[in-house]
Amino acid sequence: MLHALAFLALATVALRASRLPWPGRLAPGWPARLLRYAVAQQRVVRRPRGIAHAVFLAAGAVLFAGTLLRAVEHWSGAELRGPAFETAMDAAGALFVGGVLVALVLKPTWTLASLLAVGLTGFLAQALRGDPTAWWLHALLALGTLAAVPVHVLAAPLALVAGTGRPLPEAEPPFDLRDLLARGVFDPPCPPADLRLAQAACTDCGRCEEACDPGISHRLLHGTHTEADVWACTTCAACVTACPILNRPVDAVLPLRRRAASEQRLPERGAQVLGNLARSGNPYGLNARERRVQPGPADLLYWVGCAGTYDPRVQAVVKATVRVLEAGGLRVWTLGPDEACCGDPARRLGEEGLFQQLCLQNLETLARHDVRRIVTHCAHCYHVLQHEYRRFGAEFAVLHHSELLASLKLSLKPRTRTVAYRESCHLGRYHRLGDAPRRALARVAQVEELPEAACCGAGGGRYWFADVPHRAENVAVACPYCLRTLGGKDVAEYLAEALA
Amino acid sequence: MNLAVCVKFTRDVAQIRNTPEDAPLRINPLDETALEAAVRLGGRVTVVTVASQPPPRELVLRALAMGADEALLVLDPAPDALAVATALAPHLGGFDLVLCGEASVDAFNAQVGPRVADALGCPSVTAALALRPDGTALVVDQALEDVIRTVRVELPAVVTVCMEANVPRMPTVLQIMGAGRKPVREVRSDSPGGVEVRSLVAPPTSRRRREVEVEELLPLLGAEGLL
Repeated sequence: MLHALAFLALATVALRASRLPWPGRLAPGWPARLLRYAVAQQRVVRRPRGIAHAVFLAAGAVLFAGTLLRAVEHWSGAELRGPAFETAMDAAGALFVGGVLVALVLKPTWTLASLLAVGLTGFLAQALRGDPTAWWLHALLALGTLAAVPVHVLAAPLALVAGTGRPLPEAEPPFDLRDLLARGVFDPPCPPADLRLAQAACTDCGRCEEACDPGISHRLLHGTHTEADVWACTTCAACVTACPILNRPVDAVLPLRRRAASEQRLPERGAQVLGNLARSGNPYGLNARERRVQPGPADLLYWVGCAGTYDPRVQAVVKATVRVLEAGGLRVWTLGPDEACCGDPARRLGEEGLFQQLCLQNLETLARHDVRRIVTHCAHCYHVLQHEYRRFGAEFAVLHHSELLASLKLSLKPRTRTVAYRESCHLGRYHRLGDAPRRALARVAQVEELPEAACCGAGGGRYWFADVPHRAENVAVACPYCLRTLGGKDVAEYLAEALA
Repeated sequence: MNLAVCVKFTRDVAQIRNTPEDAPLRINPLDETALEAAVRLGGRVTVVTVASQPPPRELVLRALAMGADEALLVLDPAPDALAVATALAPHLGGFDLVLCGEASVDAFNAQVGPRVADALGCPSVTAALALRPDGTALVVDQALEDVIRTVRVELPAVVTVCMEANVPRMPTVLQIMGAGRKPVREVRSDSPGGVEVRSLVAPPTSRRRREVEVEELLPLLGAEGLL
């Protein structure tokens, strides 16, 4: 009878697991991901409720293994349990009940309540050795809870195994313009299994919403967002670094925006920006021929970017960067009118086709000039050239100017002041490059750390279509969007000022 | 309703560096507004253009992707607005409504719309802000100097649309590529120019132009009272 019930419970779990979406691929390094984030609960334990979760999960696993051992003993008749077994089980049981109790106090749920009942009846059955009522009560509760195990327990490990391997946002393109141009047809992709698996794996723990400035990441992941939410996301990836099971709520944004763009539901300024990009290759709609050529050959190509070309404030950053690079003995050249926007605003606005057009056009230009090394002051150009162009065949090396500023041999005036550094989300979070601007800045000033912020508010293309409130912070930044939104000065400007 | 939208492919004035000819072409932004108005009215929309050379395919596809069903390219050297209207008129006979941009950003003559109406012998309404169908007629809000005048016009008619009427939609690259399946017809004609240009001279200026040496400049400017 009990065996039949146990089988039924396990079969239910197996059936539920088999119904989960499966993207059909294994993440590179998936065993390590599973160990770190599911078994060791590396990100779960970042807060008290998470510690309770990790404790009762581990204790529960020990108790489950102990129960299995008993069952095997029962069937085989062999003596498998040593003298320490009961002590270990008692200790695990105590930890289990304690952990569940703490979690239950912090956040009462039915699942936790039933886990507590399982734990307590287990002790009861143990105390009233041989009492069939207590024993059956425990067995039924345990099997029932097992069958009704929250879906995240099944889906989260699966999501860890099936991820793309990069715990960072991925602008997964739904088509490749090169195929389209070759075949002339477009097969719309099916809804991605990754998103459905991520939804099932989500434990509603709330960490992503806490990390998110507009507080929308959870709604975006589950499709319960409003129209405004779709355009509020800064794609800063704070949600991605917060999620204990490596879900990427931010990945839900671009498909939503692509749909809005194709249905003409763009913010008004967004539509204008796309028109400008299509006609003049920059979001301002200014004359493409105003991009100035600095002919090569030189040590490396300076990717000036659209703000660096047309926005006087950012032009000053370019000048400062070039001055410092030249002081360090590096000469740069520029493409001039051959340089088009990297495509970041188009992609973040949901115009994937225009992004790919700009990308392929730029790749052709760069290949024609046989470009091997690129430097740029723009965090977003850096991310797009460095990471997003790879899929389309880019092979050049891209440096953020701060990497050179940190390592170049320079003669600088001694440090006299203290400067606060505001991290760029696309450098710090996407590329873990936050160290380079800090090291560059530390050469000329005492660097003061600021509390972590999600984003200046201008990421995700919002600089171009949203009313991002301007602040006047006296900070050092390493990204033109941050510079124009927060104020302050670029790291390169601090170094240029300190050139001896 | 069967609608025609007259579209001109003009130089992108934002991209001019030295001469207009080195700037790329674009759809005249006012014609984009007219096309948007047509698509919002609903019905079958045909884009008609007169050009001496076939316009870039990408631009024709862009117009189709904005919601037109068909494009007609009239290849005609038409040297002026009258000739363009003459070239357009034979192809616009069967439509209930012909929409034009109020003017083109390059020449800004604002003549083609009314001249087409004249050639077709139907009413002309200019500077439309809003268009509403009303039975067999159309109610149009016109943006005049300081007032908005609402008129009712029986169809067929020619209406020119002003810049403030709407924000034209922005088709995606995929939609532009998809528009390749829509029909594009090409016809040739040869309309004579209506206006003969006898001469082109700059108006006389009151000041004499003089070339001076640098040393003479300061005293001269002083004499003119400029220093």
